[in-house]
Amino acid sequence: MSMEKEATIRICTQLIKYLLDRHAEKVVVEIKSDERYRVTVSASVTLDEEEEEKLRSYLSTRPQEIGYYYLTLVGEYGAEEELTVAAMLVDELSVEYDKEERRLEISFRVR
Amino acid sequence: MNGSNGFLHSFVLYFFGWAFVLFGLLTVDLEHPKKFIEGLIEIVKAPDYLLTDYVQVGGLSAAFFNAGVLMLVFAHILKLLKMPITGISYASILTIGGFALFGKNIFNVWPIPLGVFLYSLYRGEPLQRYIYIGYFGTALSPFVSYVAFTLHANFFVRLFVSYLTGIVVGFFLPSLASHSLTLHKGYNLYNVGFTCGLMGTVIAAILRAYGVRIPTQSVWGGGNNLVLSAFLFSLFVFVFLIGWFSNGRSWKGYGKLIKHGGRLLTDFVILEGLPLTLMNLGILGTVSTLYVLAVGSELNGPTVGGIMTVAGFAALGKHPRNSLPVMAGVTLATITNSFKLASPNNVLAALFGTTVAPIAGEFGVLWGVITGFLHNALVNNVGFLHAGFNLYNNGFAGGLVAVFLIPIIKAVHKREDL
Repeated sequence: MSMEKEATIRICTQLIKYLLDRHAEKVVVEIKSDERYRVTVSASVTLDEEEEEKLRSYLSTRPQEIGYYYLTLVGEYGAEEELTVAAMLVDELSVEYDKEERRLEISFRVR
Repeated sequence: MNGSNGFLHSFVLYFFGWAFVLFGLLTVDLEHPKKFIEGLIEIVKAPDYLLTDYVQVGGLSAAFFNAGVLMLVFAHILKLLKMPITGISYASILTIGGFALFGKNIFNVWPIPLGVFLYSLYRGEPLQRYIYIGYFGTALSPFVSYVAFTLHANFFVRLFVSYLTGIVVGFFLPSLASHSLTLHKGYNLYNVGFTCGLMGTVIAAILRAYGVRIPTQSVWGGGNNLVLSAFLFSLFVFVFLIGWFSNGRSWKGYGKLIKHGGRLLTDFVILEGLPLTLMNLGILGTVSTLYVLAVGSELNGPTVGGIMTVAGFAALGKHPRNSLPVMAGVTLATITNSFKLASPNNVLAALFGTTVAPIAGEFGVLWGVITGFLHNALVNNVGFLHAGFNLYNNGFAGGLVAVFLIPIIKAVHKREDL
């Protein structure tokens, strides 16, 4: 399996676990395979301000090559800390959350 | 990273190296300058496998100069490669510096990172991806010295063969280190130490199969507690104060930092910022130094190396909440077993045993104490396997402890996500 494919699968697993741990009612994962994998994860989930801020903070981690070394840990637990490793492996990341609609959308491109 | 933060990151990255170099040069007065040069040569020539106290072998000034220079060079390589300076940067630099007081020197550290570099070229991937594996991989540096100074051949052949074997080891390290993570699942912070333990075990087994006798040694010095206490306490208080002032002279956020379990990759610089990380570093460094003194042991190359490693990993997963239970477990084991509290067996296990601190961080104090207890027994029995070639003996033992304990914890707690 190519490293990009493995990274895509693991990052998606990481996010799915994270969202299910926060009792997301619906999670939709869309993966477009172009030259690189483009992923959109949308979910119906309630995040309070602190949780939303934490999520944004973890996902704002800059892309870093060292993330590939820790790739095998991504998606193992869905824990907060691994979100930073997931963020190291992607670019063009955006996080949008509509509090009223309880709709979260995370999109990114796997590096 | 804004301007002032960028400056602070760079300052701290080089600070420890400069502090060690200056301390080394200042303490030259305590010895004869000629002895300083001779000390450096002795350090390079020493058979470095565990346990070799460079302060005892080459003197205080030569040992700290060696450690400081290595920290500065490796820190500067990170800057040249334009690496983001995060918790793993501080952990790796302080670990290299710490172990440069008992096993790594300006001669033997280069082949393994070079092997890692060749691996990245072979894979067509950036060196930045594997650089820290190369840094931590210098744990196997004693193997380079062993070949260089025991092979029966002329100098250039010995030099060539020793560097070549180090490069071969470094070449395969990244692949093995990535796989090792899947065994302990990030609960052993010294993952490359675990990997190097496996490699060292294979190397030692092959050598022994061909009748090579690898002697054991224990060079353990003492008598420097006063001067080294003053140095270490000044260092850690200074670092704590930098963090404290940068954090608005407050503890704000520290409670959140110690809530993290600490499993790899809990990079406190990324998660909680540099000021809180520096406060944590200062606290753990001070606590570790106090531990060595409290049990009546010696501040020397290995123990200061242990303290620096604990402090370094205060940027990458360790904090008092997850480290102290493990130290307590190691100490409890020593009180009840055949070792003495001030012995190298106990002190080094207590310091480096915090490699498995994430188990305490995630599962609580009791499991932390059990982990420390178990670690004490294992770490004093696995050194033979790799013949001391792997300086991170505790990383090797810690990996085994995690591999053994995690399924048991899973069974007890009925957790399926481990």
